[in-house]
Amino acid sequence: MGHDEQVKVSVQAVGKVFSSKAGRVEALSRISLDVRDGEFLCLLGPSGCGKTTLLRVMAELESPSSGRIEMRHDDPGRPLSAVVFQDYSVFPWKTIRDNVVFPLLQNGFRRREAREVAGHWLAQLDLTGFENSYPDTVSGGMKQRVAIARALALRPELLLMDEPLAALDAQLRLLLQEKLLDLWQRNQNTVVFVTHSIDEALLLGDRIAVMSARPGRIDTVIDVPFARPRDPDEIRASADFAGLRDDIWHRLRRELQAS
Amino acid sequence: MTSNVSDTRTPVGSATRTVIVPSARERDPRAYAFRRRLLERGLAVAVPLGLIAVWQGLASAGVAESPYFPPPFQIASSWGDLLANGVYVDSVLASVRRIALGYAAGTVAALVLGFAIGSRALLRSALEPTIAALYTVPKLAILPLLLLVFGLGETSKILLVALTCFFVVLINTIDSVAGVSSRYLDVGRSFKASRWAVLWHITVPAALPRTLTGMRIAAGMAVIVIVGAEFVAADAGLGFLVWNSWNLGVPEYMFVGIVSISLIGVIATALLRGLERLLTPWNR
Repeated sequence: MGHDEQVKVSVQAVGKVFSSKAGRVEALSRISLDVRDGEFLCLLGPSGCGKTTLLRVMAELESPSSGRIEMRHDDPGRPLSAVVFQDYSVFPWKTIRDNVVFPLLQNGFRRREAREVAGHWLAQLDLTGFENSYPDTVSGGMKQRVAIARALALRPELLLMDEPLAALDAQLRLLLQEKLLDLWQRNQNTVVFVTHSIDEALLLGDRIAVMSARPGRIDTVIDVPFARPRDPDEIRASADFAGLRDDIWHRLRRELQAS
Repeated sequence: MTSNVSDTRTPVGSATRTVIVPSARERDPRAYAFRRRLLERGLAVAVPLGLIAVWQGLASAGVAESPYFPPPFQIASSWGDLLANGVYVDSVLASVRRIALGYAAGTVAALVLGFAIGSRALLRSALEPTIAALYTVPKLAILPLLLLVFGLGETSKILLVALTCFFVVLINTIDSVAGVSSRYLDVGRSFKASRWAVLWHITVPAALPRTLTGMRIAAGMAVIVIVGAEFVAADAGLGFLVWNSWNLGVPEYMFVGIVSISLIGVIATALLRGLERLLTPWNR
């Protein structure tokens, strides 16, 4: 298969079947998808469509049942990927600072360096002053920001985010979307972002891979036309936004009604 | 008293008016918390003292006079006698030594094995049925076997305590390690953490609260089992003191032994609660 330089991750006919006592569930069926260098790709779909499974396969947390994935690792000094998990992934037994320091120490940082880097990223996510708190003493939104800081601090070439904002209330979610947009526009990692929110995908993504449910397939890939840097309020108010949202919603609704 | 709301109903014609104002607790939360703590600690001490006072009162009034239930003052004075002639200190030291050595040996072995078995599914499948079967054997029942193999010395009694603690801590540790949420382990894997880093930074702290609970239960069982062993196979220790006092027909000494045994249990449990607070600060 031919590869141009621009492709960071090439997903080739990947399938995933889960077998259990209850039977076989085909979570992914022949998924093919390229993630380009430096792009923000959103995986959008109804719950149960396998988008998290696809992300976990990319993160090497699940092995594919068929097909293959090729990932290009450019800089041996940086980790290839880091994951921001959905919820409850911040260690309650470590302080907020140590939650960020721990993966850095596993990736060759010395303790002093790691503390400085952690301080920087905690500041980026407005967590200064909470470094010594335990996660269970702060709000859900703050915990999720710790999870994001923890992954960003590693400066991964590929950032894999699994519905990182799903557990937050609507207002907090808007604020963190803006924060993510701002951070990404300054750092430009390659991002794969799993979400079930159409608005979120349109606001953040360069492209949106819309998935269909059971077995998970890529239904269509949409180019998001908004120029960067993006202003969230402007984008949400634009006619393109409303049009695209309608378009995607109708696709998803057909899927949901069919299943 | 603990309610946040104090309301006053004043009749206004046929209607009533409800006024909600801050309660005493809201007006001065620190003083309230202090008084509350004082009350709780006070009750914890006052209730047992009260029960003893009732016992003494009944005995003094001649209501519950019996040679088998000496009144508290008489027990206290016997306690003084035993302290004076050195028997008491020797008994306590003998029992505490057996408990401490057996507990340390059994618990350390169980923790090491528990983490190893708990984190490997195959080891779990291989060993769990056997461990469950051995766990249910009342350890006191194998004391004769231990005496046969190791003789009447300290080894058999320390081993008995060690075995008792071992299985309780082992089962709790295996369960808590096997129950560590895969979410946390996924985080470690996604950050390419080494096996040791995962063990030390994720598995151990995640499994710690429940493991410590097992250790606390084991401490109580160590006290129970050593008393049983000292009844039949010792010439020193609090269990021996109780048994021997029965043989000699001195119920006061029996009670001194019984109360001391329960105090050792209380102190051991308190120490382990302190350890829990120290080791799991995030649980507060």
